[in-house]
Amino acid sequence: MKPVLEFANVTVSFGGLKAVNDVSFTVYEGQIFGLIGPNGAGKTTAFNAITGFYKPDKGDILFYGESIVGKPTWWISRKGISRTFQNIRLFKNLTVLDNVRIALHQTARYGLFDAAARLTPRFATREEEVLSVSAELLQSVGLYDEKDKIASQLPYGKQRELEIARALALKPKLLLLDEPAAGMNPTETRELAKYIKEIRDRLGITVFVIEHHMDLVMTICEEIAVMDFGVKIAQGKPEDIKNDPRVIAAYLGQEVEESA
Amino acid sequence: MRKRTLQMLLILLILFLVPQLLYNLGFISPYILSVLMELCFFAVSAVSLNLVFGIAGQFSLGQAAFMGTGAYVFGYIINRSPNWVVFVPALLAGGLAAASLGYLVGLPTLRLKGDYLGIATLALNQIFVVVIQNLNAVGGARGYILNLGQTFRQWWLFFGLAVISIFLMRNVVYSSWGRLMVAVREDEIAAESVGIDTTKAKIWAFVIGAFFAGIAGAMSAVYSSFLHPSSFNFIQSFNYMVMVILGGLGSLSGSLLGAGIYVALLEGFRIAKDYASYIPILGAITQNEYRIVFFALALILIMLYAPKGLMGGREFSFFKGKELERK
Ligand SMILES: Nc1ncnc2c1ncn2[C@@H]1O[C@H](COP(=O)(O)OP(=O)(O)O)[C@@H](O)[C@H]1O
Ligand SMILES: [Mg+2]
Repeated sequence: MKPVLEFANVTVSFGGLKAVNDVSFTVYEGQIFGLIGPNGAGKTTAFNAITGFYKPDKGDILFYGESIVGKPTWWISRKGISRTFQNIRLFKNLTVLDNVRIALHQTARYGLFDAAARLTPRFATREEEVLSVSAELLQSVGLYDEKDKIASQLPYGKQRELEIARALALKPKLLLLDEPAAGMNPTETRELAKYIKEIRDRLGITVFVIEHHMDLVMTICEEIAVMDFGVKIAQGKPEDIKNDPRVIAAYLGQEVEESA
Repeated sequence: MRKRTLQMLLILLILFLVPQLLYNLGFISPYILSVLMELCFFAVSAVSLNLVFGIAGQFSLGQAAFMGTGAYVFGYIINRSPNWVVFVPALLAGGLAAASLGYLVGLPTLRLKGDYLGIATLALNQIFVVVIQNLNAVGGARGYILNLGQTFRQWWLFFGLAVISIFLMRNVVYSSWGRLMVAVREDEIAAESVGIDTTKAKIWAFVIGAFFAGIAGAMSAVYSSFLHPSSFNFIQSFNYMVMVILGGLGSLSGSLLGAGIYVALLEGFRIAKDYASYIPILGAITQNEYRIVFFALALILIMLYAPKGLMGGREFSFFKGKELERK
């Protein structure tokens, strides 16, 4: 198996706090890889380091063998890593269609003169392609009929799906999902699990998913890493993770805190 | 589509012909026609500022500096030899010079956001004024006389340039280029994460906006045949901002409306002032002061009752790209 993402001894700190502390793991091609851990464990920070929002203090992050540390976010995205956000980050005031269309900027590549004159065949064909690809993507998440709605008017679960559709518009090789099931009911979560599997099986995209709750991750992931207080405390198959005493302790500890 | 295009052409033809014929037949004075010419370059400038501020979300108070660059470069070239052969290259040179200034300013300042960018562009505007005041080749603080006569001061030229400029800007806005700018305005983090180089998108917005501001500046040079640094100070930039906000951020057709209202008020005050001079106290207030008071008042009213401007971010339907409609 080919490594897609190598997270090697990465440390990210905020002032004195090591949000990610010397963490290493490797995501292989075709995997659905899960990262779990209690709130504040450092999961989102790991995503932010991968996507170039934060620069690690130490360690290296390789994408298909090439270091992406210090590269700008847009560059990493074009390279083939796209993501969703824990607190959905759609273009809230724009239409559902525009949210996807914006992400298709590489399909809509034409010069300023094509755009200004609007007469060249290049403009017409590329824009038509953008519309047909958008339609396909929106149909795949069942949002085509709502394409003219303003994104923020969609129900929460649909917004999450739109964000995934937008991420897929970038034709990623690696898709990062930050708590995609947050705020979804059990039925929606099951649908989502199916959809994530389809993304991997049909589109051949490697998926790296963060979850706070274990259920979703246990059903779809082949490999799971567990973080707590910035440190990786375990990694393995779902069955092993479920029974790992350190993992149970981390989650139990959190429940005690939450009920206190 | 075909039908729409024909309709549009017909409307434009009427808009062009009616003032021209009325003028030729002596129904409207040269004064009215020249107000309409003024409206043309105000509209181009307002739309170009809206592209930068309303579409790309970059707060710029340096619009007059870009217009001034266009005006002075155009003026300097056309003054060498005021004829039609030189006109088009001079016009484009004006636009390109302004665009280059937009690029140069964009590089360092676009790292700034919101108010800070506003202050930086305002500073640019003042620097521009000081530079011109000290440039003897273009008359410095005394101003620069253009020996153009009436050759270029034609309604068809102003109308044509305005239509072409606004058409081109609208096309850019309703294309992938415009979508990237809107994405930057809406959410820079989301934009970066979908692979948009936000710095580049902002610089392009500045360059394109500045180009057309330069064209508008050149038009203003033809209009008045006299350039003075004070015509391009930050108060003018502020006036264009008023037009844009009046019409509504992000609504290009709103900017046309904003420019229209602005010109109507501006000229209205000119007339009102003649009457006001008979009334004590009011008579002492100059036209400029009326304007400032009134526009401040208008802005406050808009903020209160139509915070998104008269068009509320929408477009007149004739203005939209058909297959690329944006709600
Ligand atoms: N930008 C930031 N500045 C300061 N502290 C941060 C920042 N981002 C995250 N943290 C802190 O880092 C820790 C890990 O946060 P995060 O990665 O969001 O956790 P998780 O996603 O696992 O819930 C938390 O203690 C959080 O408060
Ligand atoms: Mg998180």
